[in-house]
Amino acid sequence: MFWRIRQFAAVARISLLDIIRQPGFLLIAAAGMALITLLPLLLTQTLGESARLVRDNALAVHWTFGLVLGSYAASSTLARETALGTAALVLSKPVSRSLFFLAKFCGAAAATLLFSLGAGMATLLSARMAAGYFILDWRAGGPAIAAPVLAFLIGGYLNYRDRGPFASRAFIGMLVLYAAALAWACAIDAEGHCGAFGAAMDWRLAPAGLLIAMALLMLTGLAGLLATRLDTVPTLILCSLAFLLGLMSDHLFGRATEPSAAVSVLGGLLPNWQHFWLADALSGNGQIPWSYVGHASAYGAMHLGGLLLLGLLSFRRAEWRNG
Amino acid sequence: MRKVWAIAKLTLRGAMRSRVAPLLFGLLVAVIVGLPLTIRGDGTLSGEVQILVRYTLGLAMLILSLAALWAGCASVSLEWQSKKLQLVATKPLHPFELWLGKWLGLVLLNAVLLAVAGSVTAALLRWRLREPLADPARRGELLADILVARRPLAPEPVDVDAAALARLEQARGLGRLPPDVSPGAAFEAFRQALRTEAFSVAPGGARSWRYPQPGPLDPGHPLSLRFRFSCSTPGPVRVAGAWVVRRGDADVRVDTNAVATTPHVLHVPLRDLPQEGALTVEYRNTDSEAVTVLFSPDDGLETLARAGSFGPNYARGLLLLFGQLALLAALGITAGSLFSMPVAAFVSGFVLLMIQMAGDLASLTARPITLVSHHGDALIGPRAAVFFQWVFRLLGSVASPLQVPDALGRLTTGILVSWAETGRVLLTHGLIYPILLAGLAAWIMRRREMALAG
Amino acid sequence: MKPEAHETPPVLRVENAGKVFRDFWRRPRIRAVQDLSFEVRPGEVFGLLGPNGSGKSTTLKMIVGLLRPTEGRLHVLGAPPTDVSRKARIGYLPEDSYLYPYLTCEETLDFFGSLFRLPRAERRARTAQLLDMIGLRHARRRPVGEFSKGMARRIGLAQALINDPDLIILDEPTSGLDPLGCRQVKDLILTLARRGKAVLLSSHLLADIEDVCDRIAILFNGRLQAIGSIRDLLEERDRPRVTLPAVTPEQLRAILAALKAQLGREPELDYPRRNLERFFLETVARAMNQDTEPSGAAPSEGVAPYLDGPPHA
Repeated sequence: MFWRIRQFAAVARISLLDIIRQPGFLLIAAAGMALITLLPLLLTQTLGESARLVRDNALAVHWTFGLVLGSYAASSTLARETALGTAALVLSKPVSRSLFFLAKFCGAAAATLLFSLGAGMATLLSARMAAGYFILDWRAGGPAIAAPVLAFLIGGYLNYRDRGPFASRAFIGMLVLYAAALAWACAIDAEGHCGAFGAAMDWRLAPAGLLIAMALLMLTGLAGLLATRLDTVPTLILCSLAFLLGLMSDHLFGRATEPSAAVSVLGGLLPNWQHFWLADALSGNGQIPWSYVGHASAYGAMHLGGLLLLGLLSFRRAEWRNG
Repeated sequence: MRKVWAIAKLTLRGAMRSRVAPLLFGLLVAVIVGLPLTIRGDGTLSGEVQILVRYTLGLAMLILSLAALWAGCASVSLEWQSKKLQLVATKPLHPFELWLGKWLGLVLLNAVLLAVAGSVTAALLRWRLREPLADPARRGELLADILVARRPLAPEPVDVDAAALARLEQARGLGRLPPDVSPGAAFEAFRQALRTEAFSVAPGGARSWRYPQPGPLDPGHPLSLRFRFSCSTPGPVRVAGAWVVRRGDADVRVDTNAVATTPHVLHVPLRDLPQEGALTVEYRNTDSEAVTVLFSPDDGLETLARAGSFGPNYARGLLLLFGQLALLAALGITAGSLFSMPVAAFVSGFVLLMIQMAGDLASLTARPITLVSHHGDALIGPRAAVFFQWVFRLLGSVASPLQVPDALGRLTTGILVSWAETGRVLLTHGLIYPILLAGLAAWIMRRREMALAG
Repeated sequence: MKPEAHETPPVLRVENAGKVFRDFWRRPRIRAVQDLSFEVRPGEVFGLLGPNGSGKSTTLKMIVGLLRPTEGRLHVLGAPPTDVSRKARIGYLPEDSYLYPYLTCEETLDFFGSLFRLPRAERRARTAQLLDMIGLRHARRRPVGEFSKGMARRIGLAQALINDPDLIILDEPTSGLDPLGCRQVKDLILTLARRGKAVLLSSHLLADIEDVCDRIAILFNGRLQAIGSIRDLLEERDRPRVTLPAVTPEQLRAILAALKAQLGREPELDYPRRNLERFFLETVARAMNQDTEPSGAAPSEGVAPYLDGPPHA
């Protein structure tokens, strides 16, 4: 049993490394995180609405960039490795297909969650920077703006020094620097003095970010399922469509429709992303109860389980002619 | 051309056999047939037409756009990565021909899929308008208001610049201009105020829109006035008024009792008006209460003259969409020629976003860009502000020619998609920009070492 | 190689060529080829030999324009390798076949043929002849993606010859082929050379090179270690060998005794063996006579007629 766990961990770890070492992953992840951090600068002249706009836009960027990353990570780790023959090579060892598929998904999911972690920290910092009316808190947000540039410089230096992989080091560097910037922002108040740790931060964003991370895991699962049979482009197209239809789920299959068995079944099968988009609940002084996060996560976990089960079935029957 | 066609055929075969094309075909049919069945409209026939054309065809277009962009990226970058292009590159094939072949293949695929989407939508529309399903009166209204092609008449522009300048000089002379307000900002404020004044109608007053060159007007079809106003009394109050359409020495008057803030359409018969001369549309505020009526200077009144039937307009709308797809495929292939797959998809997506935002970028250039510090001070100097303004202006001017008229919006509001616009879009999006992009991609590809990629 | 080949101008000239691969910071990462010079003339089969990573494939990729040399110059058919028009006279088989998996055999050859402005009728005729030549006529409607490595290699070889090229560049042409396929490829190379085509091939299978090449160059770590004709490089002039017709044991003993008396020491005696390749080919030929429907590659029906015409002037 322990041996299987070691196998699982090895495949998942290699998948994660393979994904975060791809320049495309770094580009999309870094662009998403940097865009969230720069939002206060772009939305500063919005007549006192900047805090809400920054919050909403940051969560939207987290979701859309995560959608592309999750679909790309899952499809590249499965479809690409199948096409290159790497999957066949690993499966020629005493590794079961189920273990391989689930470990690959976990690698892709870990990459998506790491991005979510970065995007979540960037969102907290961005909201902190734009919390005041008409003014930006440069003391708290300044280090976050410098973080991506610094991470790229560090990644570049390490690559120059020992020819190591640039993309993964720059990405990990960004996460570390964002964490440091967050710790700094938690440590100071609006006037720049040391205050109660984290008192000036809008922690209501944490459950909102968690819900989005859960939705991204579901999309990664869907991409994993599709990648067992399709190439990258059809997978990306179908994931985007599932995202769009899932956003309109309430309108298509919910309250706005005539009740019918077929429509209800379809509505049940398609993930309803509205359960995971709670930016509106934060307006005013609104809170997202943790009990809601629990319920939505259970709903997400159920969907994810179904998607992975279908993916397993599909992968176990897949044949590779030229692996 | 034989070589280009060989690459195009290869691209089409790849799309068919890698299941991309059948998948897209299935998705499009599912969306076009399934979406109208699941979405419940507002219960009106026009609402259903809106759903069918705007949402259904819009979603189909979104799917095709994503497919054109990403398939374009993949068609070169994935072949580069899998080294298939290494073999092709050793044949007597110029990179330009390779690009053109890939583009032609994708454009043909998109043309077929768009034609399928357009035909299924048109068939569903015809089916929905059949006698037993549609009330004849509603059907008639629909044919007059939406399933028609109407040409918006261009009114004589209202020039308030001279008056605004005079007010600015007067305020300066009297020392009423605050020191922290720039003359440019003050001029803009006076200009807006004067424009608003020019489009407000006081109790018992009137406001005219003059159309010096209305073009040929078919006397057999009425002129449509589409208007919306707000008024000095808050809320959805009814305001009595009269619209007078005048040409030469004849006029037609239609009295109204319209609700404020709601869009209205009024059909004015043209039978009794002469065929020549400028046209004037006048609104008279005849309400017994002292209510001032305010029309938006930009879209308070649209005057529409019939210019044709829906069928050809729909076909031209589809051609506009086709032009958009041709450009997206070109963007995708060029990005795929320069970058590896995810980077190419990301870059082309970013360019697409810039095109969509061209209008917003243009509005940003109206004034210098400012950044405010922690204490409310300007963070960047006036020179830097002007620099950023120029950057946005440059981005806006590069992106705005790539914008295409909103074909679906026009089709669902009965607005004409003219041959001139269609021709311009097909020429620019279907020929000029793709050739420029092809030139860029070929130039870069000739300089890249094929065997290094992948 | 025909004797007059030495007098004709070379179709390929490599002059002090070198290739350095650099990293992102433009620092030299690998020096793949250094100061390499050689020529290939019409009718000549030239072999590049060397262990893995010795620079053979890099050299071939520079010659077909897929890589650019960082030092020296290359002339292919009198023009730089990047000249698109000259590519019409080159046939290239890369180290892996890199074919479009969704295309069938016929479509693959037709596609590559159409990149050479060949008329449709000519493309069809050549495709049919090539499919016969590589023994894949029965699989002409099967997608290439379903093929084994050896079958894909055969298609790769066929696409390199669709334009009846003057310079044929083959990177590991027998890799993945069965002994029968290897023999056919070697026969084909000799036929092409007889027609005046220049053939440049790389391999680390020494027997293949020895069988077909007129001249060879041996590379190691990107540097040229030896160059010359097979005969000059391999012949041991101080160890002559005499082959006798069938003799009786008494005759043999007498001959050996005479030789010993002449040389002053015992001469070596051994008996020639059939080589394994020949034995294999004979065995397979017998088996083929008993079995009719091949699942993989069928026996070749000789060289494609359009490749086997009269020698070029």
